[in-house]
Amino acid sequence: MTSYKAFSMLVLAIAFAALTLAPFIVNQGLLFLIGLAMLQALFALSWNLMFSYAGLGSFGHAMFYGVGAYAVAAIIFHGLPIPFLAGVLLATLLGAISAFVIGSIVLRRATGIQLAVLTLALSQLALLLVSYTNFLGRDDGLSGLARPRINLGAFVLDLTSQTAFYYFILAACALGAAALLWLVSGPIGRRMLAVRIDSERAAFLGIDVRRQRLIAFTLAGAVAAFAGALAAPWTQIVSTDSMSWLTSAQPMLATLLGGAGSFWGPVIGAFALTMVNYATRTFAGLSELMVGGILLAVVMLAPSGIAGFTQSVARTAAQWTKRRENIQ
Amino acid sequence: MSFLAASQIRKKYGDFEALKGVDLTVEKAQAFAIIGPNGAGKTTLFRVLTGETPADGGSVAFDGRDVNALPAHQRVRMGFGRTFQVARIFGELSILTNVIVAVEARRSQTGEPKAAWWDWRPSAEIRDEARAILESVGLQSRVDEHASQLSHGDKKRLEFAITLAGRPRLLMLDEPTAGMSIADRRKTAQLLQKLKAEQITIVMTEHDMDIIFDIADRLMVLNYGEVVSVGDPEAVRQDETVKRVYLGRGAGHA
Repeated sequence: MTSYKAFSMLVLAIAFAALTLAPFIVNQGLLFLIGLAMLQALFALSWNLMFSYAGLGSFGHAMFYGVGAYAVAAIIFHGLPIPFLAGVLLATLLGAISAFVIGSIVLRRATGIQLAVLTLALSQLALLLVSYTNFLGRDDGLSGLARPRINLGAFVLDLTSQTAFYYFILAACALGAAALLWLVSGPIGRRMLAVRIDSERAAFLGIDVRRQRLIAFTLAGAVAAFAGALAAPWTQIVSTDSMSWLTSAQPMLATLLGGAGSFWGPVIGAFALTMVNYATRTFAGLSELMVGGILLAVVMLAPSGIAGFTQSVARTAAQWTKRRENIQ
Repeated sequence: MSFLAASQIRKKYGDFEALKGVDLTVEKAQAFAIIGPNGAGKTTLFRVLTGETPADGGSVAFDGRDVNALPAHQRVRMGFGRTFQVARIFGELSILTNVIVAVEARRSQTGEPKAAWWDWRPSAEIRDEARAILESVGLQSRVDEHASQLSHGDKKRLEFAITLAGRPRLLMLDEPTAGMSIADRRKTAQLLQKLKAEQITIVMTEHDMDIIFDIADRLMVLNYGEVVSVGDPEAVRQDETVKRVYLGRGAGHA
């Protein structure tokens, strides 16, 4: 297993190096897609925080992504006098507050399928509310969003440059992922895992099950809003699509494809989905067919996702070499 | 005032009356056993006492405090500990992590020192405590194994370790030796004797009469949701009604 750990570290380092070098290798269009994939990966990680660590399957996670996206978009669109970084912070806070409020109500009773249906219904309600709000551009959304320049006193971070913004997103996503990894590796993560595996047993350790779930739900909402807040100026448009059930399904598909059992699974899945979409971009409808087919294959052949599959391959390989050594 | 006192506990499941006004008092450092045929209401009574299921009537007081309205996790923080009939452990985690989670949970509730906030690893102190607890139940040599790989008897031992990590003052044990081998039963009996010596109050249901007469200070017989008899185990053994409904069949082993 230690060799598997070393292998994962190596893959992680290569992936990070590749992302760092990407602006020198790929064209602007592809760079845009990679930036979006990173935000989708962070969004998927936030969903998996709820799912794998607290056992909450939300089907409406896009509403928090949308809260973040609309908050920053509204600030830029209406020219509100709030600096960009403060706006991102505010959007994240709004995501946390809305998740806390919704979680306090929904988690009182519902888990499992009821939670899935309730969150889906609430996200559709949120979408409807936005589509009736003039300030948020109704059905059309807010478009033509200018990319920000961040004035840090000593120097100006000019995000109107695509490459600069790309690096900004890379740094933000790496930081977000590191923060999540730190959280789930610590006592809070262990407590959440206990709640997911057996909530009744956890309660008999004195763990307040509902509180742990609410913490997970709130943090997931905050991180999703953070991802949405960065996505708005990156794509320069926000529409009600950002809150739709299709957006809610993205982190679920990424987690399923990449593997829920591993921390990095959702990241692998998000990039895999982006690759499939890119490879099939010229054929209308083919990407849905491909994504559906691949998911079917994953569920049938590797139910623990890509990460789980490589893990088991590595384990089998290790056993093989051990056996060969024993024979010789 | 008794350490644990329940009065007139009633519980209905639909039309079925599982508990028809049960009274129970347990003194500090006492071992109290509840026996009765299957379906007598033992597990339901347990669930009401621990706070998993609300009763339809009656009240429960613990250590002089009314705990009727308190959910399970708050009763645990007051000093309840509980094991289940079929051991419930965190199968996906290692044996050591199972106990570490329990130690960390207790420490965060009591305000005992924890690791530095930024350190995600459990502190050496917590690890040592978890190992010591595992040693006391005889699982010290297998700490890194996945808990799901343990045998049934060892799972029960691990559950004991998890429960003891909470430093309970009242241990609620639902059939602590059910499904165990004879050797494991003996070890569990020894462990219970040790806990008794440490002044921990024990409330248990059990089918093995040897264990009961070995451990229990007081015995209560439940049948159809009603208390048939309660008192000194020897006296209860001689009780005619008890002989008829329970002990009479199968010479002491139901």
